[in-house]
Amino acid sequence: MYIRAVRFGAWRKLQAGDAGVVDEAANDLVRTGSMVSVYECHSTSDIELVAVAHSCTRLRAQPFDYIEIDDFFVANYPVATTPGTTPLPDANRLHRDVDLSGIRARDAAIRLAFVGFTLSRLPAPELRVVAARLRDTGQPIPASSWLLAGV
Amino acid sequence: MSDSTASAMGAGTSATWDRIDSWSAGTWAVRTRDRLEEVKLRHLLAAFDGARTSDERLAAQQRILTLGSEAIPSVLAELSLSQPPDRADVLLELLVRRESADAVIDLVIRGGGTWALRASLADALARYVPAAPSGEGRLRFRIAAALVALGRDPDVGVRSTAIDAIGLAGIADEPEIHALLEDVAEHDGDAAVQAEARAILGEFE
Repeated sequence: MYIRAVRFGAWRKLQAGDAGVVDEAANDLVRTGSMVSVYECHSTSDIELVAVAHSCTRLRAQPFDYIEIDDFFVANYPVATTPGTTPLPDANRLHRDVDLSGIRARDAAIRLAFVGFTLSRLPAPELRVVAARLRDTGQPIPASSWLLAGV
Repeated sequence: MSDSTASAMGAGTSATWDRIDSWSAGTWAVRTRDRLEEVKLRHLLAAFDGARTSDERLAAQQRILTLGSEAIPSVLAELSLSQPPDRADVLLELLVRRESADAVIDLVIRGGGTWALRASLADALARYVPAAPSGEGRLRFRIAAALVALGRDPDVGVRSTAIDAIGLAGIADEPEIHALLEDVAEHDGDAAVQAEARAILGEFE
């Protein structure tokens, strides 16, 4: 399974069947070029690691919202292993770029909406607990992160 | 706010906002969208999007946060479009650092703008709450009233973000917020929004 961090609103609307938001969802998927940044996760632990890795550089406490994308959707496109840009190397090793250069991002968003995705969330308090546990196992979570404030 | 700005908001094309009223130092000021600041913001956001390492990403984030209040109209234009979460995070942080809560509340009260902008304003309001403790009734009340308005928005994306923001801000104990949550939990047309409101109510009961 692959996951992609998203902002709740557009995907929540897409999930509710609002076809008018496809362009915005596509805009969420691809910011530069034609690559979609995702993380390949095989377990809940992987998802938690990615969630903490993404959240530790956020400027305020907030939940981690993401979509789960099935393997069979990603299998339609070339996938490359590329380093992520989080502070956690173990999470960066799960990073992949899905190459959408053969189609428009909008079409990918439409296909994704059509085949289905799961919009999920890890709430901020839960992220703090996971972050404290990961820090104790040696993950280099920045001490200044909101995730470790008061821990 | 100028007539042209108001009509742009009403037409839902706030990506073209050119001016913003702001409450600063006790007076209203109208700031015009500054083309130089807009170019700077775009350049810095491109560096943020294109960062290849964590250090590059953090450096780009910090450079964006050095922009001044002149960039706020351009920030609002960006927030009028859906944004990935990390981008939205830094844009919202710049907004709340450079703009007063009163100015943001005023934008909410005046209405209009895209759903993405209204949702972003809800996110921003939650970020002002830590600076408005319970004892500071007026601002907290105004924030709560603005979130209530957004919690009744016709757009499900705005409503769900506003309910989320209420949960994150921890202000469900405000009477008008509590009443909103009860109403949403019972009557909202979207089951997921209802569930979110019930979850927040459950935390306070």
